[in-house]
Amino acid sequence: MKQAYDVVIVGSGVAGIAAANTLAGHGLQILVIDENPQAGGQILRQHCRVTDGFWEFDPRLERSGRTVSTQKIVQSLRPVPRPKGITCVHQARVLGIFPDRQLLVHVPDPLCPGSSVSGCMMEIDAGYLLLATGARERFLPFKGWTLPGVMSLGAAQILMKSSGILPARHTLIAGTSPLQTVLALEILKNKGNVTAILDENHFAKKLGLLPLLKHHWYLAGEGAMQMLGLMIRKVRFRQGVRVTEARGKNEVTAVVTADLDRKGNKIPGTSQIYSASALAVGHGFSPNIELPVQAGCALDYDADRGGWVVRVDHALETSVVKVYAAGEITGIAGAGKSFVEGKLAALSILEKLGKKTGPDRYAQKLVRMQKQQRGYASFLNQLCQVPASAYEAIDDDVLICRCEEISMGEIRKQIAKGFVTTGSLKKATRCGMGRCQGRICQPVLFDILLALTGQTPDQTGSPSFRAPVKNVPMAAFLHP
Amino acid sequence: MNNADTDLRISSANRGTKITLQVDGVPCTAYEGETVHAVLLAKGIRVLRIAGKTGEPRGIFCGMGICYECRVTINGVPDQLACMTLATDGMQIETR
Repeated sequence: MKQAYDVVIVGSGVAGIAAANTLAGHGLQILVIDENPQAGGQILRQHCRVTDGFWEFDPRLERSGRTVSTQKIVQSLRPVPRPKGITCVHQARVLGIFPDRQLLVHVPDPLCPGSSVSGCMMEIDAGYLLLATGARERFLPFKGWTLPGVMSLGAAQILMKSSGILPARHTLIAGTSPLQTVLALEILKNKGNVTAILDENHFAKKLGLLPLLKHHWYLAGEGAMQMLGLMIRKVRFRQGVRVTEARGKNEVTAVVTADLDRKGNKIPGTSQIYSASALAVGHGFSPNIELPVQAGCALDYDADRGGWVVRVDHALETSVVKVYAAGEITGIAGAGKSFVEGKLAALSILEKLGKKTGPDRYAQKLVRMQKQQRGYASFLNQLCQVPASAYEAIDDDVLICRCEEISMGEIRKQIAKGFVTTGSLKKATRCGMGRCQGRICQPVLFDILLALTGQTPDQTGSPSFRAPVKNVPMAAFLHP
Repeated sequence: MNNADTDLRISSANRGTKITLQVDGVPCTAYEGETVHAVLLAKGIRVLRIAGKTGEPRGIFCGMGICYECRVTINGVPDQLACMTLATDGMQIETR
């Protein structure tokens, strides 16, 4: 199957939806591809149960000069019944992007002629391509992080949001991410129990980062309200504490912690044991750059934006002509930035196509909103960041690559042998060559390399990805 | 886990139509709109596969199609991501 579209958007999260809505109504054929069963991305999820309609943001939102908080976006989504030239394919995976914006897409079986249980392949020609592939969580590995019952903060939220199921009767929450408090409140709202929140950040670090929120004081206020809510519910909240081990035979039954000094180093003799049937943990976010790299887009490294991010110009065009990027892949900053960038990228594409895009004032306002997001981005990413010493301190028996089961000891050995770049260390250890193709371990491995070698990010090198960037059954190729 | 089925489902959540599927040959009740990984967790099934080298059990980790830990066999097709698949009536799921 081969099809052509004027604009193809990969990802139907906040950035993708915002872009699609802006592009609609100009007589363009637009295709939105997403691997999830529903639109909305990770943040909206349950509010976007749509199969053939589409969703629009409330016009009020677009008029407001203030940057957008997640809650506001969720509340202001409404369905649009009329067709607007937007085709939305769900549970479809883009496997590769080839020269001249040709996409190879794996689509599920209901859409395949002569239906095959393995789905089929589609070739798509994109006049313009907008990548809005979002972000995933990142982790500081510890012993036992592979045990069933240990999951990401997002996974625990998704279980509740998408399926209405608690992660466990009692959940322990840990890490450095602001999702910790959000998750705790969600669990309590749903009548689950939170054993404790074990935040690695000391209060002093958070206080020191507050000036970065100068355009986002309401977010600081939201955070304070969340903390108040947890205090009222008498949730045990500890700061400056790191999970060092998850214990259990077939699933997690206990979690060991250590107190941290101000620099984030473990203080000997401070270990405590918590009994737990679920541990939700996360250390911030990492942009999903596999497809942009495949498309040949140049990257920049910026720890304040979440690591390797896609380089874009003021119009959100990447280093590859007619390929645009919006949202978390140009820098982690949450839903507000994704919304603004989705709109801006769409306006840029419309301008290139000679379509009227309305008053410049609106675009200028969006650019202002985009700039204001920078402070929040720094706040968020610095808050989540784990100190280099924490990577140095990982014990040799801790698995780093979950898929290929490669331990920290093996990685140390190969680094000592001189495999000190992202590419060579991957080949020497097989770290990142498993099923997830490095999506979990690659950001960790990069931070380990920086910590152990003292090299700069550019010396260490950006990761490379080849098609197919997601697993696909061979049988799918037999039903073209 | 006793009564896990009713325990972990949030009472205030809106549920779809009741459906029946087979998990490792055993009939299991679920609701439309639930993902396979959530159905398995509600059923008390936490170990979804065994890692090849170390023989360690693995289960839900990222919940969003990134980590590939929740691979199960669905309707005879191996290596399907439980977290990215919606449960449907009559679905056959095999873990391990």
